[in-house]
Amino acid sequence: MNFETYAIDVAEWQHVIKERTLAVRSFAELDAYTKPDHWGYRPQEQPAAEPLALAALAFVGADRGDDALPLLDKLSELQSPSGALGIYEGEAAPHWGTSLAILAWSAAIKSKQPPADDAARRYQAAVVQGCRFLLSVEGKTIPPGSEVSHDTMLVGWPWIESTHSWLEPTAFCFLALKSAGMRAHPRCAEALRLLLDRILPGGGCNYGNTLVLGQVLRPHIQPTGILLTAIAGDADNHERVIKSVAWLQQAIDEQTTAASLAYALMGLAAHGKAATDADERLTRALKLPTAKLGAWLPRVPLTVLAALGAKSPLVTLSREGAAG
Amino acid sequence: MKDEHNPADALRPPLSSAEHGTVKRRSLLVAGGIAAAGAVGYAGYPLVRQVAAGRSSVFIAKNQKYDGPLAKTIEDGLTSVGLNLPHLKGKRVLLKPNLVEPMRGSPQMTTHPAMVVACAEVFLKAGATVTVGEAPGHMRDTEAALVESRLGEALVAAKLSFADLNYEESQYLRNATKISPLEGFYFPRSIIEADLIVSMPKLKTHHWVGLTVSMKNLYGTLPGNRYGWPKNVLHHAGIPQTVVDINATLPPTIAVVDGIQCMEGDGPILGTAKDMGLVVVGLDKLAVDSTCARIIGMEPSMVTYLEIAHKAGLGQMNDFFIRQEGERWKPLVSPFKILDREHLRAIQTQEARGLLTS
Repeated sequence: MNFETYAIDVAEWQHVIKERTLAVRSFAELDAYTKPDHWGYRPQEQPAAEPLALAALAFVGADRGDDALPLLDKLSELQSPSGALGIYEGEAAPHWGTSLAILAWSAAIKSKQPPADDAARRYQAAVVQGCRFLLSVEGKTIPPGSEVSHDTMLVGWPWIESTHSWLEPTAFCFLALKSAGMRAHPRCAEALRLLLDRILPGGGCNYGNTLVLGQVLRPHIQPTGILLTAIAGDADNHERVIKSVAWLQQAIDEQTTAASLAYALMGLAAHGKAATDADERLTRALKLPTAKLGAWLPRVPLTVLAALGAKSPLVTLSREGAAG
Repeated sequence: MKDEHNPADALRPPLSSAEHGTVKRRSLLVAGGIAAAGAVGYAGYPLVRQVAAGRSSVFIAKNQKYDGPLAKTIEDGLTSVGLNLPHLKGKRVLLKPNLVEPMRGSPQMTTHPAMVVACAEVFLKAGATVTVGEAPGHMRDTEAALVESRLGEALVAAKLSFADLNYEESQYLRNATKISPLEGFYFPRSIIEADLIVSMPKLKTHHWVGLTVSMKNLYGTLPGNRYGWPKNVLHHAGIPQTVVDINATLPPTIAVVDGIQCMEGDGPILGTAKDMGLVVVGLDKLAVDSTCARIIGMEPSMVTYLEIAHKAGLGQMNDFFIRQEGERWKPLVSPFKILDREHLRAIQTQEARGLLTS
């Protein structure tokens, strides 16, 4: 699905799908990201790795590869000689944006409209350098104890260097390495074990704790969506993965936000459960009064990625990079 | 999670962009108590310092309800503890509720929207500019935290602005007390630029440190994009130590506590509701938190971060040096259940002993 096709659908069915225009409009709103003053978490703020990477992924997914190029180049500028990307230019840490940048570069290289050879080579070099950095980073292990129930000795990736491994950074690093063709690396095998270990007994996950002091914690929509996207094709028949898909399907029936819903829809699409009413759901989420309050996760690129469903670059990179 | 590694290295800013300690503390806007809250060193002469600092005032109102006249209660409380509200005209006030990991079915976990809106009303009436800000500790999607807590819809209805502290650009400030190994902290722009911060916690038990009130709530002033979700950098550097360091380094901060519906048991996330009907207000956060601890059956000196804060000179902990405004705390004591864990049992007062839950 590209924007052009989408626009035709809208024109034909405008009288029926008035309510869907907000989600569709996100494709057009991506235009804002062609301007550097929209590369930060908010307009006029300095460029940041996460919004840059998500917008680049959205452009690639929407078959607007040319529009992705300046963002991909900016990500290259953010990359330090170690291969790491900090949050902002000139910062090498915290480095959690590195995996997102790798995903953006990989998506561009593998897209239907890949960049010209010289750019593709630069992005490929950035991917290699980024992956090398990821492999040099390890979350801290903690000797087993009775306080938490997850396997604290498994090594994944932390948000911040020299801290414990958590779910979301491990999921994105795992997915980044998959996208770069490194699924066979032992770190990926361990990351998958960690991710499965961090799923709650009843399905779903949160930031990465399961039981603390004997109490089962609660799942959340966004991390569950991210987890399911990252591990697509690698553990689809695992009991906790099946439970997580089921949990997420019912969880999004509750009112939720565009950012959480977007990751949820990608996670479900990655497991063959794309919501048929994704547009309506996204539109409802975008219309929440709280959307005006200025929470800063990049809503527009995420909405575009979610509206692409199984064709979202995050989903295709995950499935194509899976061990099979 | 004891750790030999010093996570300070992960938090040092690039030299080119850092402005170490260049933000000066603004002139205090308060008359009295908070002046005692400046850290004067971890060592020293505690008793001499306490006497010299004078008494801190803590206001308690009982029989409070979320649909009651909370703005009047909060205004009375702030005035009685010495806040000069007219001096806040034209100043920037940031209200910091607790939204660590909201779930619709657990309103006892988060500061009630009615408290936040009422508090905003008081400062708006005084002519201040009011922003509500939070960096939820367990959720990357801050809007989801606003939806789940129902705070978001209340802010929209009250036309209040919100600052997503998890992603705001931030500035590095030197650690004022250096009790933890961290050299400094990144604080979001809204925090740095505030003339006054109001910590608006929910009164809850906390399964690691005993209780969480106005001091621990300020973990949520640090941006997740630099500390993680959870803010594991702080855990590795020591929770009690970093609570004190953050409190000492922040701009002037006062406390307005939602003690109406509280949380006991396995707080701060999974505990059960306990109705107390209290609003607690003070300029000295340590005095407020110590008073709250006594009310819920905990001995403040056994709560590590309160004891460290006391030794660091962040305020008053001893009851003798805390002037009670409004209600006295002793008749309000109603011990909270805590998890049956070795590290928590020690903090219960004699009266609360045995109130344990699994």
